Amino acid sequence: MNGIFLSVAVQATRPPGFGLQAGLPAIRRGSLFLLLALVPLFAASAPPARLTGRVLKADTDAPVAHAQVRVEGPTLVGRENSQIIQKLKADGRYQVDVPPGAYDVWVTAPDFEEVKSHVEVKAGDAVERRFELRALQRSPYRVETLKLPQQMIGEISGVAFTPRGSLVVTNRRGDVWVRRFSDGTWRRFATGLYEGFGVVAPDEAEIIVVQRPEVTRLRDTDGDGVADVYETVADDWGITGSYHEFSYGLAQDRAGNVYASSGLCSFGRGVELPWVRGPLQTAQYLPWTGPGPVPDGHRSVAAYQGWAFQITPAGKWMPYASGFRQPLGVGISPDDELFISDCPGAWIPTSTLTHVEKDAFYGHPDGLKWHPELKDKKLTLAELAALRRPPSIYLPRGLMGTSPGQPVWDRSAGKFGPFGGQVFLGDVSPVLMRVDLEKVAGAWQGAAFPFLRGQGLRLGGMHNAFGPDGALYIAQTVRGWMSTEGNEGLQRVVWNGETPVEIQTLRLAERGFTLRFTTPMATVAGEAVRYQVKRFQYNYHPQDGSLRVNQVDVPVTAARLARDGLTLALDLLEVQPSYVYEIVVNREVQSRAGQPLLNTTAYYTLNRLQNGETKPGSTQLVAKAAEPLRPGDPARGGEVYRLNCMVCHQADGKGSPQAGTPDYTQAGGPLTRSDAELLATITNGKLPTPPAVLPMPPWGNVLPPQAIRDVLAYLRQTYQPSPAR
Amino acid sequence: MADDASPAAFPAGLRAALEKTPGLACVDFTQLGTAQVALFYRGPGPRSAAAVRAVEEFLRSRSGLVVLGATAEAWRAVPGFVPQILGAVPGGPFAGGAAMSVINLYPHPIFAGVNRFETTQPMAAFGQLADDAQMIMEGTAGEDTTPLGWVRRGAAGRLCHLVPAESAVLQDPAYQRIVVNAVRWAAGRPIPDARPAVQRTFMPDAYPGSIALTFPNGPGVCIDPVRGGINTIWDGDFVDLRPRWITKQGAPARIFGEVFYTEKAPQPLRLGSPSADSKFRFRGYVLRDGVPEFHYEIDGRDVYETITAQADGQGIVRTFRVGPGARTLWMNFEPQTGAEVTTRGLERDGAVGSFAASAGGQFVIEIRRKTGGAIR
Repeated sequence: MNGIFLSVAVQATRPPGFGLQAGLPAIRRGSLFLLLALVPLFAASAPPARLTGRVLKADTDAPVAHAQVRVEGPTLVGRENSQIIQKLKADGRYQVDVPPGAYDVWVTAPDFEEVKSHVEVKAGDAVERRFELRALQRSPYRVETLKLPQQMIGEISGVAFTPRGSLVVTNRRGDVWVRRFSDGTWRRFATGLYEGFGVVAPDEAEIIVVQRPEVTRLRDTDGDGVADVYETVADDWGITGSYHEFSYGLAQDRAGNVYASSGLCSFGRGVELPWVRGPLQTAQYLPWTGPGPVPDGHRSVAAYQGWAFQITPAGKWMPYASGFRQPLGVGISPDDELFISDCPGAWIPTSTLTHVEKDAFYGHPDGLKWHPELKDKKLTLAELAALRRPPSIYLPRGLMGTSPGQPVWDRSAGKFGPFGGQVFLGDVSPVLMRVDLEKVAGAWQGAAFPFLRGQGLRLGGMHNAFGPDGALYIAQTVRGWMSTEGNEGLQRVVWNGETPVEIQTLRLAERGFTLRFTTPMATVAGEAVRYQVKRFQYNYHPQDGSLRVNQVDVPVTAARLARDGLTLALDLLEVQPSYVYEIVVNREVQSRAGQPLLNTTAYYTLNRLQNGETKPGSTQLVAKAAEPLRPGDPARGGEVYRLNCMVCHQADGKGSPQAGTPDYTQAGGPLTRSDAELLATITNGKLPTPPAVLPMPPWGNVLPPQAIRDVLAYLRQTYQPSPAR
Repeated sequence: MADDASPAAFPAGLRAALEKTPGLACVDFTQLGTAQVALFYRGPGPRSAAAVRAVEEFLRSRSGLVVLGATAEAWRAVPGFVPQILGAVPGGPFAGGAAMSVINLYPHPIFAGVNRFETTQPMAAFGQLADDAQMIMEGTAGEDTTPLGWVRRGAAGRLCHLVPAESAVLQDPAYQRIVVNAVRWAAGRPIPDARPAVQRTFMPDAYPGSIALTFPNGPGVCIDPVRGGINTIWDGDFVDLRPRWITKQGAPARIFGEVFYTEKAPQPLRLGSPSADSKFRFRGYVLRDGVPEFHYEIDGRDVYETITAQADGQGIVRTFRVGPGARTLWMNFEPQTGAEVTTRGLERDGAVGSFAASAGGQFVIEIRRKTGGAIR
């Protein structure tokens, strides 16, 4: 743990009153029903434990500005990333109410070391903790917020630089603004577009944008700095007018081809009929047979939704690859290859970064409805799994964000530090990720690292671009997904020239991995015990995302640090393909100058071994069997209910006509059904019964089976009507 | 235009800017009844009973009204103003007096010639905007937004309320231009340099990605690049895109004004015959002095269309420029109850018109609202 923890006081009595001031939960795309269920959660509940205290600058009583307390724990499952985030006011005080349980409390603030503390609380506890943060001395990266013209709506949805260095941004209100390289002044280059969501700028007078209905070339032909030509380059895919139906991009290869993509339509909220451009196909390619409602409402209802496109310099539009869900990050590598990031949901188990090859299929089957050869094949799940190309990189949720943005490669020739040629991606959460790709047996795979978390980084980092100054510019917008709250605009990450203490590269080796550090490390880095390695997989399935499966510890059998202190060979008991490897480096591993690693965790997506093998062989490592389910615990279930269910089902269990929830207390009501029926309903969800419009979410996607048993036990104990006399 | 107060009370710089504007003449408050537009700084303030009656009479006179920074106190003598005319409820300082991080000028002729307007002045908050009020300027501070300017067009004439009214703002030439434009707009006069607004969005009764083309004095036109025609024409100079922006569930943009022309049939322009299965492609547009010329391809034949407004805002002129091509170009017309459709350069035969010149050329379609014609 970094920073200083000064005092802990645990009071035995329940604190008076509740009304937690926790911030809104981070909401993943497409999870509106979760949003509705979660936002007012604590306002109406009485959580039985309270965490309070202050966040101060080390060795002072001065509060830390813009600090944030993040509480994570398994009892918060059902919230995004199982966490509560509270942004602190100027006095540095925090107050978070939580159910009983064990939590990690992270405290972060711009320009301060993050602090993590573990706390376990029982019902009624009031835990006071004072956190002292030390100024962040060792991070050589600084996040700066750019001042934008007052008339620019800060929903910055795309960023690029012209070859001469002018900064170009799009915003979701339909403007394109240019900050001229020559004098630094901003000018509105174009306006009236329909949700621009990406840009490339081949020239000062020619800018290409993707807006919802088309890819458009904007040209300034009279030299007044304002576009007068809005040329439709391509508009060949379908759109419906659904609120959640984005066209993403852009990237341009050396031949001048432009790449864009189309996200699936959030069909769960309906579309505006009959106004659909192109054919409409609402049936799923692989019909969901239940149980319960379709887990993820994103569907390819209009032509080529869920596809990547290529547009040639002559303006010819071609479907390029399929199988995407929300492929919002489109990038071209220095090798002129297309990479796309995708957001988790059905068929996409977690965030991904994928090397995209022409005509390949990447997982989400619904777009196959438009595939010239496969549209009528009705491929089975097994056939889809065989057809699917795995992503080059899995970005495990948590440290690696929730919905990744555009991949960009550091081509700054050292201006951004020692990561030349590596990939950087923003995220809808305040995370900047770094990816070290390597080609193994002909295919790209590699390691992902958190790069910046917090440190003033805002939410909504959908698009990025390296500027001529070597800084990484991040376009940020979150409207529609979470509270904007100053989270929109344009930031840049600047390197101060000092070498960051990081794992520079993590590459596959015959017996494990080879790590290269950015700076010589002390000899303790050569001790195998300093490294914890796990491997895990994800399910490829129609459910909304996937938890880690088949996770096991992989013993580190040897660690050998080269004499220069820069290269480490890490041998594992087994190296198996088709797993994600999590490598966690102990904090004692430091540079020779005594500095710890800035980031200690890496994830290597091992799709194939060096010999090209992609299927795992026999193994000595077997995942622990899940603990057998216990009878439901109504006390634990009550906390789950308050956390997840009460907002719709009400504290008194009588339900709500607005939410369409039933009255549990009513004779003949839902609780007359069997445990098996009710467990199935909670697990799989339920479509709304008109006039209600909100579905019951499939809680099996987010709650462990034991928690569902617990909540049913609570319902029975608390609301079960007495038997009729 | 009537000055509402003594010269000393009215911001001098602004008055000077108004007085040197060609076509505007300021008159004394006692001559209010002769003015086309009244410009109030805050409001009339305490006045004699006769003066209040004069104000009330003016407000009933279907004349134009521009108010800068209205306050309830300044309109206390005219109790009907705030609830009936202003179209919003004053709510004290906005965001605790914080400076705006964003000032959003929505496309409207009042902002003609204003490339940028910025201010750090605190603003007053207003709420409960009337349903017919068209918000044209919006401010943001932190997470909160507030209307900074809106217009209403009703039986009592035209109203424009602009919230910024601090002295420094009033000295800003950009803001003075906005005020002058507002006076012209309230008088129903042309605004110099005002250009049509072209906005691509999701319009009602149109394919997504349609274009709202609004002219400074009206009308508004919805051009549908999927159908390849005009879906709607309405009597108005504004379309509100905020329904598309404000929420994740974004509804179509909102049209202000009576609709007097609609089309729905697929693809009015065809090549070879009126019912030929011609491929229509929208290829974008070019802005010339702010006026768009749209480019279509029908089976590869180039067709360009420029739409201009008739001077009174009650109709449009569609001028088509047709590239060379062997097959006859056909235009299908739909019956209209709210508008007259006339053509020049087309061989008109009932519901179809043909253009046979293989060398290309030009034809014109005029659409004019029938007197009182309105579909909805």
